[in-house]
Amino acid sequence: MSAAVAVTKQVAILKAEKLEKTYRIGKVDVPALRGVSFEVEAGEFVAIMGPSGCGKSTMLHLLGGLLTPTNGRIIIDGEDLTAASDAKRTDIRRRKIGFVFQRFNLFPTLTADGNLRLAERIHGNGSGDAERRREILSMLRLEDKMHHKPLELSGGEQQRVALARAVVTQPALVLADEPTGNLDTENSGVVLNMFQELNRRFNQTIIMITHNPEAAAACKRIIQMRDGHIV
Amino acid sequence: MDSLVTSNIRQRPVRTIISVIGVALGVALVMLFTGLTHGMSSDLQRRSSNMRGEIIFTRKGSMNVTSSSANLSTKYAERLQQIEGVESVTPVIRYIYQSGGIGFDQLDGVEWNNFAKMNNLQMVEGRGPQQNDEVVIDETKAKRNHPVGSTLKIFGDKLYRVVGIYSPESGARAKVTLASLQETLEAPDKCTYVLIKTKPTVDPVAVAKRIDAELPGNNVQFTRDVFASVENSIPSLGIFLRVLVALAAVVSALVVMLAMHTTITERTREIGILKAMGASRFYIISEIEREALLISAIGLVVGFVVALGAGFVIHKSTGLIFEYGWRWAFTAAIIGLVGGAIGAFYPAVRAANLDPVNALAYE
Repeated sequence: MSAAVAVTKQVAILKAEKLEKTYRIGKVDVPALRGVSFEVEAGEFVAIMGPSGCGKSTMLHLLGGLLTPTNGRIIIDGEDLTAASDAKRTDIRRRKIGFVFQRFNLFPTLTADGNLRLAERIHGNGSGDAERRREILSMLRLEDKMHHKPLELSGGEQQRVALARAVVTQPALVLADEPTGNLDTENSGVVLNMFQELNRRFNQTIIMITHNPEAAAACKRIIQMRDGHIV
Repeated sequence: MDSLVTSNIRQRPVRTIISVIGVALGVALVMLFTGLTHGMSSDLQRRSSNMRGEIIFTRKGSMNVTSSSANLSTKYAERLQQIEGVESVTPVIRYIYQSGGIGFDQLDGVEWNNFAKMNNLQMVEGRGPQQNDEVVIDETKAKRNHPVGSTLKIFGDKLYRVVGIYSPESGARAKVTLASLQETLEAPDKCTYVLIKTKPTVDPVAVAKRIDAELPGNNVQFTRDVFASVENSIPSLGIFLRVLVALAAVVSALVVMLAMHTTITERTREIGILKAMGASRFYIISEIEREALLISAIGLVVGFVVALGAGFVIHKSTGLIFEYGWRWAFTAAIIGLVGGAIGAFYPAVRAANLDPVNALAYE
């Protein structure tokens, strides 16, 4: 292992410390996370696996700043997400996090290109980085699909557009929520390959929630969860 | 341009059309009402300005915008003629009646030769009225399918024969003989006012003062003041117009609010995606406000076009005159845009406050 790689490995892009999340449903407290701690280093491709109800989605929402933990801390690229106000969390999400969802969640009224440009506008980089955009579109084999609207694309193509949208702004961390959950085996394979390619070529840090062992196998590291704990 | 704002407007045509209609309705209402008020007022003033007699002599309460009475003895004409500085006088009955269409119409009873000479009226076609069932009309009225030889119904079903067309327009658009109106109104030797023309070398103000001194207890007014702006003559018209404008603004705002509220509900999931992408509350509010403003701007243009078109059609079918002014057009524009922006604000804030996790899970 070279010295440069060793240095890169030591940079933790994400630190989760003793994360707890309890939902209050009526008069009952329902714990979803019970003190979860882990770190993800820059350039890692990590799968979080576990059965339904184990707290995977809650974990992803917490890491993305969409939820606040009941207890514990989350540090993303040096910024404490849990100590931040709602506006600050939104700002951290805008600058440092890209989301990929199971249901693609593209804007149906916009073309693929429009979806990417919207991400760039929100990120505050109006015209975007043309070189990176070209590279990503080429890698995801989307050049000829950019003027299509989501309903004119297959599921696999839609997810590739969603992936492009998530990474076009160069986030420190990509959070993927069951990205192959709505795809057939062939398209799942294509999309997972794309994730791996992004991770390899751009050193993109990715955390992927999945309950699919084949999808998890594409990752460099697997974190297993059960009943709100890491096992 | 492939933005959320324009794509949403294109992709939700029914919502867009309803919102545009709502804004256009408010704008068109403001433009039509104010246009009609100004048009009628200007028309009245224009016709009054063609009257060459500078002074009007009446009994108190004999004439206002919507009614008149023949309560002044024509004998005053003889006395007025004797006053120093008066060149000529002519008695007139101004009869105001509800027309068959919208609003009021006016009919003048005049001693035609005197009246025409004083006011420089020329016959374009035909001759002046002589018999009690004869009427002369101005060119504007003649254009509305009333040629010489046709008949006009003036008092219910009483028919008057059009014997001449005169120019320029002056006072009421139709004129019969003074005797004819005196007979019809059962007011012999009476008139509504005496129109007085002063000598060119004399100051009309001095003549008016002299008349007031010699014939106290009557009204001596200048023609230009009597037929002043209708807006100033009708009490509370200004308030009515302002209330109308406020209502138009409320209608625009409500329609936009309802449309945007529905849209936000439909787009809850999209709001969640925007939040996940890091869109700030300000960004979400501004996107929705921009959409509302664009819809309002379209509604504004449609409203102006509708107002112009409706004004033209109403003018052609009823003769009512519309005159659109920049001030009210500007007011209507502000109403459309501000109404739309205010209407969208609550849905926009509501969207910005949505919980992102719940919004993403919205079906």
